[in-house]
Amino acid sequence: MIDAKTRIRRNTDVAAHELGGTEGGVLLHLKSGQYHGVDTIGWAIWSLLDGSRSIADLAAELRPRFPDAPDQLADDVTSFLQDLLERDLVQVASPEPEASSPGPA
Amino acid sequence: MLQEGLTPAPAAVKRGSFPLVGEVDWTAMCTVAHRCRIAPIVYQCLRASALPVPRDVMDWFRVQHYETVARNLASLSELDAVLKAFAAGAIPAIVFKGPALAHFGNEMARSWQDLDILIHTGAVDQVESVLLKAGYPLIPGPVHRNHRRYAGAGNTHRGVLEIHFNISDPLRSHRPDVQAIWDRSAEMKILGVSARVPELTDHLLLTIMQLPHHHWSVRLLVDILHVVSRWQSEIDWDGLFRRAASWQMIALTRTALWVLITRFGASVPREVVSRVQPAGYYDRFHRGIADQAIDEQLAYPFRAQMLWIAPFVVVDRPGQVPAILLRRLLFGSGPSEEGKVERAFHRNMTTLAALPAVVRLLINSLRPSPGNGGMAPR
Repeated sequence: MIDAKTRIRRNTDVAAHELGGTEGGVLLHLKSGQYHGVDTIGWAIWSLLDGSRSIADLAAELRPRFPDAPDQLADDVTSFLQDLLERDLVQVASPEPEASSPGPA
Repeated sequence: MLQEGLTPAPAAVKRGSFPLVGEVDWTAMCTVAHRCRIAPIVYQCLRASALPVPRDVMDWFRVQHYETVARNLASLSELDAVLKAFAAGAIPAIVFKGPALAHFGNEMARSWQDLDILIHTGAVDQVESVLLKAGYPLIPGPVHRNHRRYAGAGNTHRGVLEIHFNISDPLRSHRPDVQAIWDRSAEMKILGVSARVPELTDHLLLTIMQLPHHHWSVRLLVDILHVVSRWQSEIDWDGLFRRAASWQMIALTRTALWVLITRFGASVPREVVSRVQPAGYYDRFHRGIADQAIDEQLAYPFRAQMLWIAPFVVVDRPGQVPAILLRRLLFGSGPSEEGKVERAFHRNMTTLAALPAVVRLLINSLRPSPGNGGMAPR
């Protein structure tokens, strides 16, 4: 699982192209050949995934760009990134997911 | 709609821009767009317009656009790998056709079927060795005098890599100055990939030169329209006509530009309009052939006649046409699954089927067309 502190980066095996206007973009996994369309918010998130921001930071950065975004934006971003993670489009930069890290003694 | 949608400010295109008569036959629209391989472009035009497009139609066009972009991304990744392999072997290469059209024209909205790369004739064996080592097998088939075809090696790209070492068109006597194309080409970024591409006028003429080979394909015409619209202030028209004449393709160039102006509303300087006006019998015949070939592509259902003849008659020296047609009938290509005799029969039948339309056009071309044929110079 990922949470608000997790930093996510794009998988380098994914090629992406912005469609412009209100179209978002297309992501292509170069190894699996699967492609995905993302809307403008999805593309905005994708363009910020350089591994330097936590999910909480991402949500904070997105909010002024999308004034109509719902209150639970951070949860929606987490859910979206979880989805991308399951499709191998992104990778966890750090910290490692808590569920898989060894707990304190 | 294409004309409006390809303007520099497509957002300004509104429903009123299209004088629609009656209901739109969306099935026909989708079929023709798919057949002409311009669905992503039509999608862009539809999005830019305020036409009341049914949701399922828009969804269909959107999927075509997304799939085209995804395929092009895969091709681009493959192109990058191939060019890096060539660079490692110090092999000069010019990218043209599909990916170059991305650079000059409509970027990802244009579907690239193959990756087309021009190399020097002397580098053919070295390129083959590099490609085989990189996992690109030669596609078996008849030996072609101008190019070799290799199967894509990427995980996602199953396209074809077409390596050209000659781009002349001996059948129609088109003779591009290959060395000058190399000299004028320049290193550019094609959607992030470093590649050498032809200079603008060369690119335009090379694209026009493909028109006969592709049966006056609407997709190629849209490509040329896009380049003309986007780069109109940069195009050296005098230079283009001079070069077209020296490449022995002035009849083709004038006909192509005339079609773009009259059929697609291409915006060109007034003097260009004057230079492409039909000036005599053969000009009228050439324009009639091109017009009818375009009509047939856009018709629904599809019934081709002139389309099979159109590639062989728009040449600078009309006296060559009988010999060109004879060569095509005897030695032309055809579906590879057919035998030689079947192919020859098929070619002869399609030519015979087109004869009544050709004769009608030959007679109609005797009459000078009134005015400027509906051209609207800027």
